[in-house]
Amino acid sequence: MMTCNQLFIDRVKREWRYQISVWRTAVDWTVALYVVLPIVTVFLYFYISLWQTIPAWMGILPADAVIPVLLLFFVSGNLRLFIQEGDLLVFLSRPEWFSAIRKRGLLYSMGVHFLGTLLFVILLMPFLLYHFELGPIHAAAFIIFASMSKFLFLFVGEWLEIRRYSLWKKGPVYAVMFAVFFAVIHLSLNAFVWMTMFTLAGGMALPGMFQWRSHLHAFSYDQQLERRHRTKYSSLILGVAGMKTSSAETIRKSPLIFPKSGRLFRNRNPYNGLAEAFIKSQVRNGKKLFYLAQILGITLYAAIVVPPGLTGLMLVAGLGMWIYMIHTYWRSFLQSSTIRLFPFLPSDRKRAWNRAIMIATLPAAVTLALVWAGFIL
Amino acid sequence: MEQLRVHIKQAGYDTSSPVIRDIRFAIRPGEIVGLIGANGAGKSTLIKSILNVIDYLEGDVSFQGKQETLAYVPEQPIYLEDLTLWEHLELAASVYQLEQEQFRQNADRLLLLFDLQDKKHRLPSSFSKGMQQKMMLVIAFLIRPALYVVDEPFIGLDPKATRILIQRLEQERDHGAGILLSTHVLDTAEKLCDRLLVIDRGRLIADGTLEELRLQSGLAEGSLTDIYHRLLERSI
Repeated sequence: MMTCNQLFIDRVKREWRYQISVWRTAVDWTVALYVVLPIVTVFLYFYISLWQTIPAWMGILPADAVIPVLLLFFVSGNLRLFIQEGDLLVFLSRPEWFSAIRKRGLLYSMGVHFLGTLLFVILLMPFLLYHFELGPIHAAAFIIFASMSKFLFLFVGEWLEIRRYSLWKKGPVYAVMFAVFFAVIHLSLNAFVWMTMFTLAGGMALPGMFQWRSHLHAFSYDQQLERRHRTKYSSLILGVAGMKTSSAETIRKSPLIFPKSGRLFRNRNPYNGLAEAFIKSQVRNGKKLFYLAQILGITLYAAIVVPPGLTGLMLVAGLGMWIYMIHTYWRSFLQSSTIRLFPFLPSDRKRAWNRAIMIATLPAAVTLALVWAGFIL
Repeated sequence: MEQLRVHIKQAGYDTSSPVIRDIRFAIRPGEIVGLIGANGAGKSTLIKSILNVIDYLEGDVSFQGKQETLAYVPEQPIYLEDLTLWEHLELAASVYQLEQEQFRQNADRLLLLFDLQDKKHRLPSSFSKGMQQKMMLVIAFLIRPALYVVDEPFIGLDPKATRILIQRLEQERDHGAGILLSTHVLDTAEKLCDRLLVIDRGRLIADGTLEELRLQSGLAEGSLTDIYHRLLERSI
């Protein structure tokens, strides 16, 4: 008979097989050979050179420039519970397996995130050593501190998900967390004693959070969140590769934007209809908006911290990334079963894209242009 | 004149293992043709072949007019998660360039008919399966195409909506539309369809009116259910 441990290990194996299959689908051998391999090689060469000689640009960047990067890293990712839809049938006779699987899932997720944090901090280490002159113990302790911070962000993220907070409600919570952790990271990088105190405080809070999540009886949420988290990155990877994936379930009844189905274009024709459907689908999708906001945020951040001569280049690159993302969404939209039901002509698609990209790029273009104007003035 | 002519030598998801073979039939204007068969018999593959969304098709599927005059109602409702019900209708109206006032009147009438009037600005993802199915039917009836391909429409519909659907299909037939109706509800198919196609293991084993199928099966007074089972037994 299968034990709880065997069941969990089996799920982890299946998870890895699934994620590898997604990568294989998106990155075939030609892409791996001609795109991924050269990028990795150049990156490794660049990274090793950072340990040998400190580049001039590193001195220009302010020391605290690393903190927003760390905060973005902390807020990314999620905890996995490995609870599945069919478990309700099996676990009815063994209710103790619910929390047992959750605990293993949480421990596994924390292990994976610890390794991820270790790798990320190692990547940032040349910068940290240069600006903060960390000693070996301080640097090692920073890995523990960063992991602890990441776990706290993940548990808070889980709490927000379970409370079904919309993006608009999550925003203020994260804004407060970002402000607090900005100060915490700044102090920790500058004084070992602060880092020790914050790590101990986090270490005391963590067991309580772990117990709360592993014993929270929310089967319906657990399996919904699990399904969403499982496909979160695979959907993005496949989307970028131009492949359609089904999106997570929606629980909203009415949209917040255009709640009365108001029209964007007065003239009704196939290309206006297609462009309008696309734009509304995008502006009502919190996840997609969040990705776009991230692109904008990273671009603005990069534009601020790079030397003045490179600001323009950063803004143009950011706008290019924005347009690329919109185009990825567009391809995915055209491949949806609903759109394929309708007999759009290639000329309709082309004209619709021209309209849609113009409108969808406007917010980013205006924001970036204002920032650029600010720099010039 | 035929609304749809199907002459498929073989079709499927790859060339090495075709799912359907040697299928020939036609649908004339003003005719409801029932497509019946067991699960996995090849009904969905046949519908996909007609819609030209199949990976492998050897043969010919031709329409009297343009293919744009075809409406497809799938078994599993499909929709855009972030568009309201009304916006789906607007999208259909844009594609088929329906006149504004006429579109509004027809859309409101259909929504009222299918009890969806108060849901018009809701997202279909919050609907039950039956309501989503009704939405697909409203879109199809809004377009009023020359040919309908309707896949298992009765599953999930409440009795009132089922009755309305049957009446609407009959009205569309009377107005000259051709209708291909795939269903497992044989009692309804018997009453509604002018002609029946029976498909088994990828082959068309019968094509005719109920009377012709009775003759073919040797069950002079048999119901469609009896005839269907007899035809399947014979084809083994």
